[in-house]
Amino acid sequence: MTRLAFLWDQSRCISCGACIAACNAANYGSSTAPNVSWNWLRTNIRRIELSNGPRPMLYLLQCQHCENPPCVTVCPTGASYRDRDGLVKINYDLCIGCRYCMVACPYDARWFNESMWAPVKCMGEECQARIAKGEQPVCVAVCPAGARGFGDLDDPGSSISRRLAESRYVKLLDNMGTRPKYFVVVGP
Amino acid sequence: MRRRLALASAAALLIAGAVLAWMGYAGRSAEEIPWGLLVPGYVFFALMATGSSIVNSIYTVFGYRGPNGEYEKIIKLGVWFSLITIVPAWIMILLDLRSPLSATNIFIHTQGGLSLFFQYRSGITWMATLYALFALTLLVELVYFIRSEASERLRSMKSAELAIALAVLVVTVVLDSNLGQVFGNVAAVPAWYGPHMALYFIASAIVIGATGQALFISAFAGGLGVREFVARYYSRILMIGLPVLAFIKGWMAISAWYNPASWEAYSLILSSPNFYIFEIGLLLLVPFLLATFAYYKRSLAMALLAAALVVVAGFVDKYDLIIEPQTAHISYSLGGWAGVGSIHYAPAPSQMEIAIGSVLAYAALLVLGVLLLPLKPGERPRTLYIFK
Amino acid sequence: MIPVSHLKINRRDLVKLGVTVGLASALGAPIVKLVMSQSAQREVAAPSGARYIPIFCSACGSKCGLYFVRNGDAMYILPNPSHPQPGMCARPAAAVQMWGHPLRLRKPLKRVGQRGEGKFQEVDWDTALNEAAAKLKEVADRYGPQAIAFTRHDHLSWHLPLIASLMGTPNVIGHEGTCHDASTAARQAVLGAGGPPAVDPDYANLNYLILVGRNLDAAMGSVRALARAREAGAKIVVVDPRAPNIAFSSVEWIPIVPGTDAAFLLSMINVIIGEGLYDAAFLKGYTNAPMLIKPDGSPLTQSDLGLQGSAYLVFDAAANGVKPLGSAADPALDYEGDVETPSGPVHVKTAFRLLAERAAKYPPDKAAQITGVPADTITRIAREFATRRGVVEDGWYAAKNGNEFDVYRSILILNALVGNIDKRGGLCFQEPAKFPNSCTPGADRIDTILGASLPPLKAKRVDLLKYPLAVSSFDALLDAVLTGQPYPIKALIIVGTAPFHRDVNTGKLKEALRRLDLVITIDIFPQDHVDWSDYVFPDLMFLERSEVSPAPWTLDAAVVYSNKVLDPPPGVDARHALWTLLELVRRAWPDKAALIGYTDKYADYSQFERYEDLMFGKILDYLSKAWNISREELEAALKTRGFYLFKKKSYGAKPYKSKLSTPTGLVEIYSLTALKYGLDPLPDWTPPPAYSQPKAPNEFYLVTGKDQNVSGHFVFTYDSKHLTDRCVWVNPDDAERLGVGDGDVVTLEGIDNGFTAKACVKVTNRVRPGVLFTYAFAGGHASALVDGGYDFLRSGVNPQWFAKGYVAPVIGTAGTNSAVRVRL
Repeated sequence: MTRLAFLWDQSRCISCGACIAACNAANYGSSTAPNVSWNWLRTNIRRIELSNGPRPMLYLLQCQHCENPPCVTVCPTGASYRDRDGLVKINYDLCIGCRYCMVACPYDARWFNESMWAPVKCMGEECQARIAKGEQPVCVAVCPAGARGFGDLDDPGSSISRRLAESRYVKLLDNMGTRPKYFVVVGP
Repeated sequence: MRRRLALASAAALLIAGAVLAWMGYAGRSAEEIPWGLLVPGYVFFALMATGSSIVNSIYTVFGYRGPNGEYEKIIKLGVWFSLITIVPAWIMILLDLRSPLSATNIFIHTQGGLSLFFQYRSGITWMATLYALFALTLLVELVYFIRSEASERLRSMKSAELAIALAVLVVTVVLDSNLGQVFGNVAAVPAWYGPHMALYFIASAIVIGATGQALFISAFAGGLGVREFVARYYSRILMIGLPVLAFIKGWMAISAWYNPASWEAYSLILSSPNFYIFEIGLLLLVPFLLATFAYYKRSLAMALLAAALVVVAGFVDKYDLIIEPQTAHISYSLGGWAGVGSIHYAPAPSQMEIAIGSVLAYAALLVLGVLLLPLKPGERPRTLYIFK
Repeated sequence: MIPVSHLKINRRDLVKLGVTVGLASALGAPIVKLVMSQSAQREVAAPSGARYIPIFCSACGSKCGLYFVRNGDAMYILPNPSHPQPGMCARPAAAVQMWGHPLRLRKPLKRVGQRGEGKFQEVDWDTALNEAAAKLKEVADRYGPQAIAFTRHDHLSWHLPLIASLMGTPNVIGHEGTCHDASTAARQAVLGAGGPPAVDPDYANLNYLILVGRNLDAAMGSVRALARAREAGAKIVVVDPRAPNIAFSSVEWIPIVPGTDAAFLLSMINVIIGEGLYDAAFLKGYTNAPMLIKPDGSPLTQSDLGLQGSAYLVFDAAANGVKPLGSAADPALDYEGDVETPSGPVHVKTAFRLLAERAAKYPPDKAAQITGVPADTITRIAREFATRRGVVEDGWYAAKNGNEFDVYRSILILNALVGNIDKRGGLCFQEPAKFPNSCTPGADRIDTILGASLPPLKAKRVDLLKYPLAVSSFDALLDAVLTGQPYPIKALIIVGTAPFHRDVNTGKLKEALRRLDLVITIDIFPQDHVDWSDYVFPDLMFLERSEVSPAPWTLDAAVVYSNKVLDPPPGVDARHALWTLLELVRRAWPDKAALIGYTDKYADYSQFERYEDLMFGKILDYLSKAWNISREELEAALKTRGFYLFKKKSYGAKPYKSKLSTPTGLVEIYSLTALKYGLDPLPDWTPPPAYSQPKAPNEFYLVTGKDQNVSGHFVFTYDSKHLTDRCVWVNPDDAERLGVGDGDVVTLEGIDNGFTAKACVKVTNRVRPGVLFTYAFAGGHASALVDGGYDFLRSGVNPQWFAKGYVAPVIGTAGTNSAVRVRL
């Protein structure tokens, strides 16, 4: 079986913004239209800064490609689905734009593309095309700090599996039972 | 002549509403939250339609006719009201989708050949199914009542009548509870999550449905000689329903306080003066007092005032309940530390156009129904099977 | 000969398989045919079917190696992982937004209103060029060619000396006075080295890194190299009043009081000397620490003793007497004593002893009071640094408090104290790429890359006359405009730089811009100064031109190349700034232009590519000869791979195998250069002269800087609207005390110049108490040409508005920090 997953290393991320802007460039044609849902760019990655604790901290948030995704459960047309490699995808031929998936996602990982009248999220089309040919998603390819990883959890030799074996990590909202596949590394 | 004028005005209003709604549809844009004005708008009318139907089941299933059989005089008007009130809900929700016809994807997939589909885990699949059943059963009931005026045989088939009425009641109750749980099953929004939404929506439906229907029926109450009945019947429903509603809502608020994630949303609701004016004052307290007064003093004016307040405040209540938890969504959903702040949402003009257009069309259809269908006592179907 | 490829693949990242496999197979066939025009050969097909074209980035000055990717309709930027200095950050990721930006300057503009009003009419290129050229000629005829000045940033920095020399003016004055002027002066004085890339930590192999006022927001190749060191357990310490973006990762952030870095560093020196943690052998053998210094601060020389020669002297413990520097068997490091001279005994101390005495002014307790850093933290960092043989980064964009010359000398001294100069994992000299200059001044002529020679320049550059140790100091140019001293400057050509966001005396800048006879601007976006220009010429952005350059920010010797990948979008009649400048020269002085072969056949812009190729050819000729490699191979590698690696860094070169370009040829702990110019030969801490110290509870330091979300170009993009905040950062305790919340609007008033502006507050733990921070170059854009959906450019403040305008004597470094009062 293949279970594709993402890794983000909070201890290495330097908040350079390359992944956020590159997702916009590769998947959304460098669009300068606003992302009204997030009050952000048209990109699949959100940046959340924690500014009140003893030290500055950052979270980068995107679709967690959950193994138990609430967005798939609530979709009335089957447009949201899990593909055989474990990625959560959207079939835009079926999507009716009801936005139940947007409401149901506890990570708020979907944003609304008003020209398609449908929700949008990681992975965009360009990244899907890239991984189909064995390349990395754009956010992983651009990261200069070695803070991102992607690959098959079921392959013990994959870079993500090896890295997780050497890291301490957390998963977001683990208690909600979504079984997310976005691993936040907090240290070696 | 008057009838022709009325028909023409209704038709004009219908067209005006359709045009306005279409303008809104053409000009729509992305909103800050996934479910904006059109969703509470749709919920409101769905509750009014189903709720009024539940109220009518007091006659159709449980046989209550009123002290002097008054209910029998207004039942067809009531059933028509229930049926047509679902239309603005449908208009709003269908115009909120990618295209109104795209909703067929819920059941029919055309890629790679025609196939049927049913995602039983999705609350929206069930909504679509139940609305279809609701419309079907209610239509059958209306036609049954209309044809009963012309057919003695139909009038005598009491068990058939009961079966239909029971089907309507079951469908509406299931529909209301499902509608509530479309929200209540979403663990991602702690302020909604829980089984209480089903009960809250049923109680809200009864109250909103009763008051909506009361306002509609009151236009004919004088002519039909049922003023006192209308005043007392709907007031009594409020006298029972409003305390129940308050009870459920009270526990919802208390329970939310115990969950900081829910409280984030509820505090947004509770910190607005809107809440105290509308959801406490004009939805619960004042209408309860007015309804009690109307019941004992047999005052139609008081009853209608209470009804009007409940209709308006009932919408505000649903609006706040659906909108505010979405604006608090991300802030707590990541565990309370994200602090991204709440989102400010205000309906866009295009959404308001769709909503107002739907309401105008709805009013027109209500009037057209009264003009074209034999809904008043003594009227009989003469043309096209069911028309006057 | 197969080009040496330099594969820097992050070993964790199996990603590159697609790209490198694609490249390797595409380049398997040796390329021998000479290719001058833009052909599909430089596009490499990757397994996904996408085409990858090598470019380098010019969204900041680092020239990180990238690919421009085309996959069907998709166009985006990826790093070039095999490049000697691969990218990337958010800035090139927004390149297509920069390219298609609605605010791009589209046509030549001619001013119709007053300077500063921003009222223009669009004119055709010929009209604008002819008029501007005529006015330039008029200025030169009346005041002499030296009355024409240029100011620039990194763009065209290689070409402008040629253009200026053609015109006959020395006055190309860049941005360095508000950037790396101080650290470069320190590198020059202590190491005999040049600008920031000339000396850099060996990021990939270091063990312990201290960043002082350096946030590594560029170059991204350095960040990649550092990531490898982190995997091996390296520690990073960030000393900064505010937490830069790197502080989100696992670093130790030391929130220091602004302007007190030198006290911190001298305290570290104090601990290291006091605890004997220094590398005595290195200090004795490769620095001037053993030099004997007289009470007046000048070094003891042979002539002082009445001997022949003028060599500096040390005390040789083996011989128990003084010996010339470099010839003692065992030079004493920490020594003081009397030396007999013809005029009596002179009491001398070694430079090392003087350094120790200087550092003794800052024991950790005292330094803690000045810097706000706890004494035990200072002690611990000093010990960690010394025992782990760390490296302190030598400085880039750091013109903040006016006292930076001493900060960066202290840093270089610290690196020398632990002997970590030009060693693996230490502070290393870049291998020179032997890249030619566009022109080289000689005794009686100026040689140019094109082969022709030009007459020598008579005048001296105005800023160097005032600030002899500066790289450049723009403030002196403004003085020349306003006072006519040392000679009048009457025309200013502003190329790809943003004076209003860059320079520290806004009032003076406006006055000078009013006073000039002629102001010409070449740029891509409506920066503030555009409104003050007489003629505005739209330039190409970096995706629209090809470029070659020595590779900065890598210790290896390499040259990098960027392919042109796009034409300007429809409606944007932008042209290469070099063409604009050469046309101005040709139309004003056709004979001068003809000297370098630039004739009227290039008046047709479509022909300019040939001249570009001509210049490129000369550079290729030079490099192929200098490195003894085939010109064809070099050219092919540059166009298809984006770089050519000449020589990998070999450690232990300077000052071990060859001398430094310092007066002693050694690392100058005790700077004779500083002494010569009347400055303190040892660093010290002085309270920052650039602003008055904040005292009242509502007075704050306003510090400024960048991160990867800031550059003069990037801030214009839609991406920047969300990625760059234009607020003023306030510490949560200060915010509570002042009664402000996140998002509130306050008024800032410059304590030194009284300037007021409104600013939005961001309450954050990223800044220490008593300090406010706002990004430079980001907020407060004022051009009338900024409109529509880009009004966010006007929000925020330009921190330069509050700067006093301080420029340090001799060095010419300016202070961009300021002090402000906060009013609600």
